[in-house]
Amino acid sequence: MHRKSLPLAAIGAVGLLALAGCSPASGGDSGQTTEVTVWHYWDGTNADTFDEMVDEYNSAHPDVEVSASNVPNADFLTKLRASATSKTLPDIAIGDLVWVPEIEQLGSLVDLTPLLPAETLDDITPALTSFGTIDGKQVSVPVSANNLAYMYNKTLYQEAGLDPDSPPTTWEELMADGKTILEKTGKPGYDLFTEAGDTGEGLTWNFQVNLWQAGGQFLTEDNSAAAFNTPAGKQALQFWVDLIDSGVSPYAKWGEFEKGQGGSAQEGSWMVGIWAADPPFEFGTAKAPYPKDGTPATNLGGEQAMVFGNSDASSQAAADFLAWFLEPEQVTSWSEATGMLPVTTSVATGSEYLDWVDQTEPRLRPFVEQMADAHARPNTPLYPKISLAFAQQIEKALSGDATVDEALDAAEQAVNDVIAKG
Amino acid sequence: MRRSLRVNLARHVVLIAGAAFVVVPFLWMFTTALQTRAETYTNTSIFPTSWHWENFVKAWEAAPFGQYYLNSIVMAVGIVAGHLVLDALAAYAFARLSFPFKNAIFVVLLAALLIPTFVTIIPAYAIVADLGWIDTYWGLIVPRLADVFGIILLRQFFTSIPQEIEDAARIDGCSRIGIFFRVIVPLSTPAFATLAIFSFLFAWNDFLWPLLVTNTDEVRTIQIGLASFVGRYGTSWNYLMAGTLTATIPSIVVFLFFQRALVRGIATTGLKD
Repeated sequence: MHRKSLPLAAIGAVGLLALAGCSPASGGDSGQTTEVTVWHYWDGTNADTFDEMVDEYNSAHPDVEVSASNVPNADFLTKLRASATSKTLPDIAIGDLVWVPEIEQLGSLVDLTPLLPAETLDDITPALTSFGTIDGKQVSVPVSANNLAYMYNKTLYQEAGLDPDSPPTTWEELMADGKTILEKTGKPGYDLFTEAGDTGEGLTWNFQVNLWQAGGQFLTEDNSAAAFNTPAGKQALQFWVDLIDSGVSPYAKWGEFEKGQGGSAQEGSWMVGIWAADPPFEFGTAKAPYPKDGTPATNLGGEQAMVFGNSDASSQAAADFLAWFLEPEQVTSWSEATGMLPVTTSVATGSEYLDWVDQTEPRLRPFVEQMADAHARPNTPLYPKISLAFAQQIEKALSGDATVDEALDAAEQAVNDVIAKG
Repeated sequence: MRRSLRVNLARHVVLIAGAAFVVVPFLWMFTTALQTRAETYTNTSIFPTSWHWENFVKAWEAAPFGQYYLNSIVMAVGIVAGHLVLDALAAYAFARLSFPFKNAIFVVLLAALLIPTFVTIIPAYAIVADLGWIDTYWGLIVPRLADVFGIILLRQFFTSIPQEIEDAARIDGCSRIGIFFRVIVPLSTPAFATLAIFSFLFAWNDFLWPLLVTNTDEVRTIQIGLASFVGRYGTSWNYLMAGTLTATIPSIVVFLFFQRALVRGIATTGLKD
């Protein structure tokens, strides 16, 4: 009985897949093949999974030929800018969500609202759609998501005499656990990203989590001025300075946790996917700890897809492909294969995906649940410059060259200068 | 006797330190290439402690590296051939022929050496795109067929060849072209070897231009393939190093092959890149 039902079920599943693959009405004339080129920076499992899904789509849609091409992430924007000068842009670019406002300035992104089914757009996690909304147009849709949470070394927790199954939930507990680890093992308890570096973003996007948790905002609602120089901002920065002063988070020592030499760190959900197959040490995950009097929050990352208006036919075909990619089945299979988080509410809260998480990768659970508390970074083309200016000033407080108040004042000034210059 | 021993010893200490300085990065590459992904995070040893030779196979399977390798060779051979032929012809003209504004043109060429490549990349890209050469070998090779450095290097060498040899060939009835191919070229092998090595290394290691003008695996070069191991979400150090090691082999082979000529070439022309 079991033996027979398995192949039958498989045939049924294939049939269903084929049907689902055909469901969005592709508007192109039959007989003519519309080519859709996609540039993305995914590598490894992500790239392999995407290629398989593209193949699946192509075989179900003989009138469309989607071809995907990897562009290394460090030079992705350079290549897009060069291509924009000579009308050699791809039909779809899939890039980091913070790039969307900059790419929009290249000038040929298509408004996806009329091209995508309304129910697809409605299903996307709101914080993720808000990001691609520029001047009333929907210039991007999310295709993959991640966020930041607490990751810790269970072995070190045990060595320090702490319970490896009860990670900290508040800043106060995080500080206490960190001190215990430092005392008992001599290793830092919690890595902080304290250096601005070339982009500043490593520091800034980690800090934003604590800023939002304390009730603060990074920029004003309309992105016209800095909004972090408030009691909430002071509370967040003071928390970092206290962590550094106590020795729990040594200055300029990010990476100890990843080497197995530190107790914990705030890490992205992708690390679960990277480490799960062959963990360098036994690690656990928990929601990002927040202050006792604060609120849970995390920072959103991931990829957004943008469509360049090369022709009406290619834009529609590109949008049809994205609509297919955002159907629950594809969102589920993408998320399960890559360890990225689902971008649609129906999948993120549906039992099928959540059961898979609980059975296969329970360490993703805190990340999935955090999607409800996730904030998006400011949606402005100036963001990369703002992020660097902010990080350079804040680092001075972390290195001990400025007080918390001085650093926040200077950062506010620097960010407002960047915005004023435009 | 005593003293020379001490000097010898000191010399060898310095040389060994210098050799270690050069070899250690390669050793680290080799060690990392043999580690599992988990070990690349936690391992601190400079010598190999585990032997995962399958990383080399996996790195090659991660992308069509055979095709990338072939494309890199086609591009490098095309560029080297272009440099040797076109640079030599131009260099000979500047060294021996007299034509109007010769010196002015040569100064302009020298000035072109000062312009960073990045400045010309976008206009060059626009031309290649207009010609429809995006994603073709043409786009990879043609814009880099000649370069100023090679012209200057060869011109310096050609002018050092005594004019009398040429005059003698002339008297014996040899044509201008005959002199070039039968007298100048055979006498200039060290300079050609130097140019060939520099051109090969430039072509083999070039990243930005091939990245801009290629989109598909059919024409992509090995450096772009390697860059895909440096992911947004973390670098696969073991595969990156395994791939880099295999990509380094042609450079080492070319260098060993031309090494003696190269040293002579640098010594005689006084130029290095």
